[in-house]
Amino acid sequence: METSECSIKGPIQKECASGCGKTWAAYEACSERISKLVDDEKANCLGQFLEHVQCIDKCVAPKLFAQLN
Amino acid sequence: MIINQLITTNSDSFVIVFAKLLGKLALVGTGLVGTAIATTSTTLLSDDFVQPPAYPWNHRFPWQSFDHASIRRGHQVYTQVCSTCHSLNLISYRHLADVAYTPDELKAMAGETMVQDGPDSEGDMYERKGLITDFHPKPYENANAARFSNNGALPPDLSLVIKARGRHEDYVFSLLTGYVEPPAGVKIVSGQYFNPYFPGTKIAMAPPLSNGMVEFDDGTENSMSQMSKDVSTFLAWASEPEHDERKKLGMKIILGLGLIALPMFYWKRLKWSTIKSRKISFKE
Repeated sequence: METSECSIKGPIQKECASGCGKTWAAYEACSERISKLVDDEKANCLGQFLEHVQCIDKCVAPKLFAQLN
Repeated sequence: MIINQLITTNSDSFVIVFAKLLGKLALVGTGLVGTAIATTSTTLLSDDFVQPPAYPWNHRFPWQSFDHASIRRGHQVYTQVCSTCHSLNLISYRHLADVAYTPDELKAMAGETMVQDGPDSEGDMYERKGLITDFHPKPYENANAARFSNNGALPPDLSLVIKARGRHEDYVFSLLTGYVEPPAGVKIVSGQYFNPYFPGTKIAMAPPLSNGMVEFDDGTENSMSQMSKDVSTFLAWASEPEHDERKKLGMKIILGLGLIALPMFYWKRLKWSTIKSRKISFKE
């Protein structure tokens, strides 16, 4: 996943991604599925992506604020 | 005697019924609170955005006040970045006195702006230097001008934005740090940006902050997350300037009522002692 451009949030997101293998696998599987649907303009993996973001966020929230003033 | 008995049984049953009712109410209450806690932070499959996580803000608990150094930095971020598009109609410079700045600093800050005032004695409007009692200058004359300059999207006024959005400062912080590349299959037209926290995920605001954009006077490291946290704290203050006073008063009231509860408890026991210790006897 593309992480935040922030110099503090970005690395924490990368670190936290390891705990969210399940949601990432679901997203990867989805993107593979829709890559075969060339004609379908509406097919997307938004739902899977949002679930993955929420999973990472739970881990990011306390770690991020610990590094901020 | 029979009448006496009737009265006593009636009052007894009333007390019991009342106690049972209170018990039920407590049960329903805990049930409601439990459901509220369980449902507020859930992302539903039908949602088209992510519920922001609960960040550990410095002012999150009832006994915590705002971090005022953060309010000051946040005001700097607002004036240097956000204020080019977003107004702050309800906050004047004097509101920030003894919150984030000294009155002298604020007078100097307001003096750098030009304000239209009038009409003068001849009926004309004129420009004058800003005063501490002036409100923050508006970036656009009206909503139509704002829409016209922003591709049809209206940048909302930020005075009450923290109160006006679900999840409050968590939402604003997540939104500001949340811009990423769109996921597979999601198409973004030009003038739109992908942000998973924005309802609908397609937002017209370009990523406003980047690392090192604002130089803080207190030398705090100016990462994008730090600036977002500070501006969210500032806007939380702007939405609720009475916040610190409110929490202080709440503590005083809870302490005061807590102290009063002790003699009240004694007084209640004293008054009820005759009723509780009575003995009813029936004679043939």
